[in-house]
Amino acid sequence: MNDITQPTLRAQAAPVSWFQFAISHRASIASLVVLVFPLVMPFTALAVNILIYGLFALGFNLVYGYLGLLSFGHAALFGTGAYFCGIAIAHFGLPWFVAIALGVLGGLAMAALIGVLAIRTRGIYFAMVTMALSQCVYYLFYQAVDWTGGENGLRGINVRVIDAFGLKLDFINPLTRYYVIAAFVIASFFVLSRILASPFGAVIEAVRENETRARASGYDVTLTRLITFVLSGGFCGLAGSLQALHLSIVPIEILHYDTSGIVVMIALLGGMGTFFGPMVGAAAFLLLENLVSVWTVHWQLIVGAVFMICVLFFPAGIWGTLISRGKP
Amino acid sequence: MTSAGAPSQVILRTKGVGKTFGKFRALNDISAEFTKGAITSIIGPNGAGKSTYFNLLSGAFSPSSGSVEFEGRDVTGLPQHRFAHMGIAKSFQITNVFPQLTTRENIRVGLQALVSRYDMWRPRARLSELTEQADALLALVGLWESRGRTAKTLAHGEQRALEIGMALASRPRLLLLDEPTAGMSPEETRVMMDLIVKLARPG
Repeated sequence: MNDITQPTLRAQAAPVSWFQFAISHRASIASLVVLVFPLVMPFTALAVNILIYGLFALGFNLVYGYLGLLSFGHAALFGTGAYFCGIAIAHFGLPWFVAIALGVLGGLAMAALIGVLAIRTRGIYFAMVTMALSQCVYYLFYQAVDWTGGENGLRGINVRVIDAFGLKLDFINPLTRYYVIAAFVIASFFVLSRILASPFGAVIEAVRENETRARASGYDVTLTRLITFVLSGGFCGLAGSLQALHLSIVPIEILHYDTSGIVVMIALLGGMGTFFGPMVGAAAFLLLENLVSVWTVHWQLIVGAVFMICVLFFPAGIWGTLISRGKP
Repeated sequence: MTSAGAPSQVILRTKGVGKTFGKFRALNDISAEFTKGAITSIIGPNGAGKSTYFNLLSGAFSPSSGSVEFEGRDVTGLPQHRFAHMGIAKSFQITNVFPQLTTRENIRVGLQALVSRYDMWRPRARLSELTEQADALLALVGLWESRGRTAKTLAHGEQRALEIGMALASRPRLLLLDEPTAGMSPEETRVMMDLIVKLARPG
């Protein structure tokens, strides 16, 4: 049995296709797209929304697409990030970078709390438990009026200038604001890509593929799930922080289960378990919402119909379908 | 079921293990010893409790009574992933692989469990020794040609071989096989038996 270490055979070096090239440079390519995006988008404010929801969906997709658990409570992670960041600025007057760091920590901590309570459940039970816990978080923040402003939302998050290493950036200018937020999204692309390419990234997919086999191979399935859920909370907390800075207010609706539902729709539209799918999904969902709501007040009807058509005919999502076509 | 031998030669021992599911008593007071380097078979009719006993040995269930000792150490009730770390590997009666991953990645993930379980920063491509070991294992179980195919596209016999390869990936000192030749053709069965005999040989 000890002779299995000898390298008996070697794979011949396969020519690197453009597809493999794209996969190994996925973070750089995604960053380039994000950088040129506002040049083709007519409304910069919408582009900022797409970035933030795209980042939120990126974090969600780590749990849904890569780990294979459907969470219906991700609003709590996004909202906690937003509130922590907002409270740090509005109540304590802390600088923006400290506020964002606190927002990320808030997302991580809330994910750890919800994760510990929910991670042993499976399938629909996991969805229900995360949703119930997320509703608890909603009422907690709703009741803590002194801290969160309750129903009126948290106001007074006024960041006009982003002071980055002595460089003063005008956060009121929409394009500057876009690129400040894009910097965080790009950093997230690289961090997420690294996690997915790491040994732990392989464990995440192994647990999704076959939990029983993963356990027999020597992986602690529960701990792997919990760590992945917490990591997801970090990305969602960052997205929430950026949302607070962008809106200058944290509305209580951010914690509503609508928000959890929207991120599920975005991930499904874009393509679950794909690297760039969440961004594509966010762009498709928010563009559709904006275009149709100009035309009719019943925009949800149209968006819902489009969503259903997508799920029925393109279950891999927009991006997922595109890359499966391009796959050699 | 019991094999003779010096006490130091016993790799696995169960002392009066039993397992109940609710009020149903599936196993009652089984004591047995398994010798190092030997091939031991557990046989019996349907419903005799073979699979339940197997699951107790591999850590999938913890016994309701009695104890399990591996290499002289009490391992009763430890979580299953710890069994793999200690050197107990199992293959499943119903093929249980990672269906969407390639054959080679299946083995590589199995090998990685002993080396790196929580590293989320270094690229896993750096663990090149794992790929080499995976290739050697693929050659051993006769799957070298199929290394690039996703596991779900393999034929039944090949999936069984992959199952053994994955069990071997955790470098076991004790290999537990649940009906390794179930559903195989006579030809595939012979290949599997040769492989098992080869694995049990010392060295």
